[in-house]
Amino acid sequence: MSSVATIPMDPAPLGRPRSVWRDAAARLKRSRLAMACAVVVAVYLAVGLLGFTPWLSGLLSHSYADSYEPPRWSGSVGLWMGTDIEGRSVLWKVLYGTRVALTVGIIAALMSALLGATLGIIAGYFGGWIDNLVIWLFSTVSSIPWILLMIALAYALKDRELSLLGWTFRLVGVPTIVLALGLTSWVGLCRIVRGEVLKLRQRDYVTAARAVGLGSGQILWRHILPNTVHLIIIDFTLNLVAFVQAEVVLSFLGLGVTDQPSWGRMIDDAKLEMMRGVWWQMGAATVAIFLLSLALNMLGDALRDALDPRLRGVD
Amino acid sequence: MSPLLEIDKLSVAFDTEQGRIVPVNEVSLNIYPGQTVALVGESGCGKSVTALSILRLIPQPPGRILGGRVLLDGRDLLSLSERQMRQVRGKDIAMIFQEPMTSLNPVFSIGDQITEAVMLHQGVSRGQAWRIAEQALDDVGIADPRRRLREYPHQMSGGMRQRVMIAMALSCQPRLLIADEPTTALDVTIQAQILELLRDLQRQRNMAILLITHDLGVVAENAEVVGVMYASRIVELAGVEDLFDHPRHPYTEGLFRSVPKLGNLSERLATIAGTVPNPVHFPSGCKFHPRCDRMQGDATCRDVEPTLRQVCPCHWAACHHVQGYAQAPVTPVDLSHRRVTQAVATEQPDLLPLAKQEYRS
Repeated sequence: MSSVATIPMDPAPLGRPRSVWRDAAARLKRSRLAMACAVVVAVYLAVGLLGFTPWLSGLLSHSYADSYEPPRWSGSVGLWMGTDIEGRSVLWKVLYGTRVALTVGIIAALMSALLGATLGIIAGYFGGWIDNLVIWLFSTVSSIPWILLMIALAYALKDRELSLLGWTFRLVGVPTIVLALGLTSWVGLCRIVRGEVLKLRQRDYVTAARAVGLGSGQILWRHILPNTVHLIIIDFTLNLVAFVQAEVVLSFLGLGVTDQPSWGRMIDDAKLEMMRGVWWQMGAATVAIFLLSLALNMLGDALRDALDPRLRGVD
Repeated sequence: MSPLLEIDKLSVAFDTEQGRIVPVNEVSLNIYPGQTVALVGESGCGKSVTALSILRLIPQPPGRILGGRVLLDGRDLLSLSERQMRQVRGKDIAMIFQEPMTSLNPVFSIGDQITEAVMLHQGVSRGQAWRIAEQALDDVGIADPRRRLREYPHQMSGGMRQRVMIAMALSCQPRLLIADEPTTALDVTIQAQILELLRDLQRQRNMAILLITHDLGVVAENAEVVGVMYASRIVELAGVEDLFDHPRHPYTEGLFRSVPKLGNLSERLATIAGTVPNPVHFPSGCKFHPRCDRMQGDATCRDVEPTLRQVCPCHWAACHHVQGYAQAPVTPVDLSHRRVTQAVATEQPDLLPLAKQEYRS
């Protein structure tokens, strides 16, 4: 003990130390609805992973006898949702479509989060000409109608060969959509993060960190980024929904996935089938999109509530 | 004895949309090891900018250091590279801030934040850094430091957080602590505890303190040398007792008059007429002249800005109307006053009144 008197100043808080993240997780767990949505999303993720196994693609390649067989609850599981024009099971198609939807959604959302957060943080923290450059960049991107830019990009990138770190791959289907979505959708997050960082860099703890001798890199990584993570997480969840839907729109327009079954292609196919009273392909794809969108949206809302700094009582 | 920190005619400018402002104008100050120097003044007089400029923490741009030198052991901090400056920050000179509620990062435990500084400057392992941090919390009188290290800022009160800030600042044994209104945001009893803590730690480590405050009570109890700032300049500088007994500058007099006194029966508290001038349009001549009761139409005050002159052996002032100002020499400000601290005296209450008022030059 030093010579300085230890004065009991306030009743010692009990229990374990509570980090803001643990607090948020606890708040999230208290919400039944959020947990139910998380379960739904987890099921989708599992089905999506199943799409990568040879088992599901094997089932998919099997052709049943008749095309446009209506849904039937007896007999083979593959016929529960009927068959398409080639006699393939709609149920397996819809399950396989999850793989495409989630791959597009997750990779594009990651790309968008990475771009938006990096540019936003750098612009907000360093200011000056860097800030001006980033503002110019996102103003330009956002001044072009989003869907047109995406379609133009999808056209431009389609069937291109891309060399990356010695790897060469053709941009067919999924990579095209991911690039088109990722390159056009970072603006929103970039704006929010830049604004937040402008506020954060005035905070005393950032000045205090500089007064202790930390460099800009350490301050960005340790003091700025962790305080914007809640924004990035929320944006990621909401982007995921938007991108799953965007894949459908692009595929419907014939710009998306062409080499494998996807929800967008199923709806595209259904354009003509509906007139003949074949509703099951459209129905299956729509319900699959609807449930995933609903669960992700509600999870996003719950995350926003759980991570909102005003509820953290520290802002 | 040579001073630890010499500020020599430091001027700082900010380029704003309304034009350039100069919140710090030719400020000179010496701080000796173990000494407490206070800078007093109203909000916006430039005292915080002075403090931040010592560590080169003002945002550049819009801020710019126009001129002057800041010497730490004779080494000019203003000419160091950013990398060298980072070695000085935290290690030689540490700083604590006014607002303990926002000075700690909410997403990290306080242990993470203290060890960050320790590992940066002392090149120790994480485990050792945690032990140093534990000792640092113990030093500032926080009970059960081991557990407290794992807690987060929002689990602590304002007074506790300010103690944590002090522990963080002192964990690398700095020789100078800049305390920018360290107690303004705290209630009075906690204020007294924090100031006493700073005094104790200063005595143990022979650490110098630059105390930025607008609270004259805090100055009287803690500082040995006081600089009074008004509108970007130091207008008066003296030992604390000298200044409190014989203020020379009309602004300092005004400050003392506006402090409520116990047992004073007058109905209203005296104030200084007018407001602090806008830095974009500082008045000509003496910046205090529009509010000054000594001026009485004097053209000199309106046209000629007075500089600090040595009006007494240990007293500098910048006012044309101070007695003997015209003949007083312009000398560099330098006061090595030390308050005689007698640890024994606290154990012998009879000697306390004597010890309290004793100064050594």
